[in-house]
Amino acid sequence: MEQISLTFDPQPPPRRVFTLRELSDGIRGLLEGSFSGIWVAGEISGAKLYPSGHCYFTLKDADAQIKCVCWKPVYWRLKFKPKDGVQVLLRGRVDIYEQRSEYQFVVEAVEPQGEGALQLAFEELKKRLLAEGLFDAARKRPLPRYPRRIGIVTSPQGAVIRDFVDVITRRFPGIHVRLFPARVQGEGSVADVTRGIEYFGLAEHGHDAPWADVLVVARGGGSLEDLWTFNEEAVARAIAASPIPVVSAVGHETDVTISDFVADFRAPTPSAAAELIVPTQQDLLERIDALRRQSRRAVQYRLAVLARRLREQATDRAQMLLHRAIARRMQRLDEFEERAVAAIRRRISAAGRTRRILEDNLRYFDLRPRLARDRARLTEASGRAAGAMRTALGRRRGRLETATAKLSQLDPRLVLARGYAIVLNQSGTIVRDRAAAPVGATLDILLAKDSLQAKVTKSEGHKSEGHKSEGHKSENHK
Amino acid sequence: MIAPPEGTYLAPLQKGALRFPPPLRAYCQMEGWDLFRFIVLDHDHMRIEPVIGDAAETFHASFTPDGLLWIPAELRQSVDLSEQSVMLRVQDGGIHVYIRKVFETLGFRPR
Repeated sequence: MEQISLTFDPQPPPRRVFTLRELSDGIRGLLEGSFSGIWVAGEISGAKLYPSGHCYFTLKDADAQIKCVCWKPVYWRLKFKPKDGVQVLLRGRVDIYEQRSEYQFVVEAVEPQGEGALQLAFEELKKRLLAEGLFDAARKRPLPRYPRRIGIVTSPQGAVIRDFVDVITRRFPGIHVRLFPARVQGEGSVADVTRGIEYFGLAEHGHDAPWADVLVVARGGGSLEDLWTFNEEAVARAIAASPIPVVSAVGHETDVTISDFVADFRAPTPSAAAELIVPTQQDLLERIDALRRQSRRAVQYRLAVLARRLREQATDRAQMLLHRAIARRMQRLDEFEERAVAAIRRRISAAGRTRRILEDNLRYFDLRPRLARDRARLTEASGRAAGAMRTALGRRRGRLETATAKLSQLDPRLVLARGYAIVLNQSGTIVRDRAAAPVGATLDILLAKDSLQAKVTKSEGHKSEGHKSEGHKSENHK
Repeated sequence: MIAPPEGTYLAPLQKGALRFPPPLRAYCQMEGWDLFRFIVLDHDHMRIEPVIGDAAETFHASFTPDGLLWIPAELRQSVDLSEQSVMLRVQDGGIHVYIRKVFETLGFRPR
């Protein structure tokens, strides 16, 4: 028999004993997790500001009430201070007051209930339209740079339209502004504004396009309720459906409406919308100047390009004509060359024939063998003539040498060298006898190496001895 | 002779009838104007002329006891006047209705 085992938990669950602090902290944690940042509506009762700066009151409605505390830092930041009997919306969290085991509402923001409800409606519509994409930046259309006609939906009463027209007039007189009169708050205002937006989206009477280039939805400042028309969904959708760009200029700079989000542009004030839309004449003149300069540069550039192209085309045409002319001349040159070559060839051929005829003739009248024989004979004769000449020269040289030897023997200088002298008178005549040298005559005596000058002092006939010259004087002459 | 009220008044058009602002209504009563004829001046502009005396057969409308002035449908269609507000202004012995007002950035200024 199978034994069935039974098990029992022998340990009882542990007993958890909370301290009051732990219990309060636990409750606080639970409350904070579930009731933080919530809105609660009710009427204020028993509001009291303590010297500490904290404000205490009770929020109640027909069925319940809750104690509320607004700590000093929050209280002094509140735009709307808690007042008895006022319906409000409170934002805050639920907390626990341990000392009395009471829970209370810690206030973070206070709004009068009417405005708070509007704010909630505003946030709800904003969220919904945002989800639909009506606020997308991609939907925003640019404003026309120079609008000629502006539509405006606003009240004809008050400063808005007057200021708007004044600004337009000051900045750029001559622009047409068409006002669609509309109530901008209260009963009928939504219908009026919506109708005005739709009107400006329609094609102009008798035309295909809307009358205006841009539409302004404008209103002066006011409370949230006053501006509420421009937070209505119908107005927002009319703006979104407008075929022309829409500028929202509602309230003051700090006021934000749904129209501002949907419109293509938001202007902080209606006057600012006028300045946003319309350029000043000075702006336009400067723009025109800039465009003029730009277009002038563009035209000059274009002209330069065309001129260059024209030059290129002219050059191309000139080159083409030149090439054609050159080609024609080249063709003629080729023809001339061909003809010249043919003529030269003919002449060469003829000259060749002539040369061959002359060569044939030359063979019959060839002088070269004869010249060779004559040259040989000439060479032989030259040899013989040279031999004869040498022989004759030899004989003449022998005779010359003989005569030279004889002449050497007769040379007076040889006689002088042996001691003889030659006496010359003044007329240069050799003195052969005394007649040629009278007494007193001066004589020149030539020796082998020197000469003397002497004077005749005595002259007498020749004797074999004793013949001598008296008074003979001599002197050397250089 | 009573001085006409100055300024431009905004008047809603509901179900084809203009609701006259009290000052204009009072002026009309004081002037004895209760029959009116509409003259279209341009696409944005009509004139309400009081009909007095023998020309009574040419009138278009008269005030209802509660101050409404009905505008014939064909006239409204001809100037593209729908359920909207218009501007009323006493001028030249009549009441000018500015359905839209074109400001050529000169001349007329709303007060």
